[in-house]
Amino acid sequence: MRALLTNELYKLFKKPRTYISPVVIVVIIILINLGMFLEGGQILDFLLATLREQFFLEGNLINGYLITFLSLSTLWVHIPILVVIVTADLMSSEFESGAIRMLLTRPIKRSALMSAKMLTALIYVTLFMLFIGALSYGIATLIFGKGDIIVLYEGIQIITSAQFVPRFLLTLAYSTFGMMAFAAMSIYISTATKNSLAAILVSLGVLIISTLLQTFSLGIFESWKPFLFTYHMSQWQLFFYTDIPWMEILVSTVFLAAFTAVFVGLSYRKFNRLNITE
Amino acid sequence: MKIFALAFFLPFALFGQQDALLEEVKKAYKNNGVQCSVLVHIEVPGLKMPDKNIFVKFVPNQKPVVKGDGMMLVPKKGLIGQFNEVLDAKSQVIFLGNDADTAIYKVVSLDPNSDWVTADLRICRSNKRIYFMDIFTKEYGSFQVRHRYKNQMLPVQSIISFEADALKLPLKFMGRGEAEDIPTDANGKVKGRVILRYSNVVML
Repeated sequence: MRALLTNELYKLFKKPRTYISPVVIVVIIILINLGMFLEGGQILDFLLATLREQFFLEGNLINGYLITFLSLSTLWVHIPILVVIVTADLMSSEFESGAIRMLLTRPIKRSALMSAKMLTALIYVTLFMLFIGALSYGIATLIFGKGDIIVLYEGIQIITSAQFVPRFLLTLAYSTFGMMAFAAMSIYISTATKNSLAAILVSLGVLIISTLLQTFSLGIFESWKPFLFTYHMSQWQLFFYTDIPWMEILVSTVFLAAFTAVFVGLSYRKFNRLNITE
Repeated sequence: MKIFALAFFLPFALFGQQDALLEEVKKAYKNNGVQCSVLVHIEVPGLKMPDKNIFVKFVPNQKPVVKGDGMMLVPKKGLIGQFNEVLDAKSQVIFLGNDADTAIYKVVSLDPNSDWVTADLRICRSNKRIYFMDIFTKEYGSFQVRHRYKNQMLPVQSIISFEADALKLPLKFMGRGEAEDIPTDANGKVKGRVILRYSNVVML
């Protein structure tokens, strides 16, 4: 199993496409920081205009913590797209290149190979999320320093700088879990379609439909929200409520765990029953 | 004849008495500034903020100095160091009447540069302390301030109430992208309250 995993990780990090997503993230985070450096003051002035009528506002309002949070808020829609570029290719690339036939002629269990693929996806997603977290936090705090942040949930909520770091770490952990759920789905689609492009497009199609349904606040769509995986993935934002609604987070965590389990199970089933001579 | 004389001189005598009370209050609150620690508790619909401990320093005719960790919100009117702003201003004072041991005044600002227009004061006759101020400003609406005292001339707590425009929340910015409803009155205003607890008060 260890040899299989090492082999999968070697293949993963040898592929140029593995590095596309981190490069894109670097560019986006630099642009967010640049944008806030140039225009952040104006945005906050607009946001806090009403408060300024009654209060003197003091302190470092545009700070690294705020920009780190803003980066996460901006990126949570895009991260799955960048994750799927790699995870949807994990199985299908083996079919496309024909390497799967050679692999399965060796004395290894199909379930062991699938486990190695799943673990590879988990390692990639975790490393990718850590990279995003470290980069967004590192650049922003280096340039803008630390401070309290303003969050627009149910009005304006102020999260103190002391509260920020633990909540940010919880957010990263939860987001990694959410991304793994999406990765599991993309691996199943990758196994089913045996084609990287089709797997990426189908995964993105599901993501877009789910996100759109989540965005509609119309009656019928509103009741669908709890069944949308993107809705539960976006629940990381609850960690930035003044009073964290732990029950809601637990429900979403259970949903994502079940979602992951279903697609991991389906992937094993599909792969074990697959006729590779076709 | 005596009754006529009494009727003629009594208003002047009473006015003199009220005037003297206000002069005593002005003297009592006279200082070159105040510095203290303040625990700020804010209750504004649509705004959730943890209580903050800050240090403030007020010197007449200067912008208040506010120090503390992170973001700090300090109400513009009703603070401990702002009594002189009303008492020492060029103004017309109108005595409105008495309510038990409390004298009620309306102070109308005559200074075109001051940001307040009128201030209603309720002053306790026996201890010469201002317990209530209702300040109308040119730009920021009105602020009602209730002061609580212990042994000092300056308050240990001020409760500032005000009406404000409801917070305007842009969609899709730093949030979940959902407009949250903040309950307002018929004029689109919300009622806010700030409680300030003072400690280590030093008159400069």
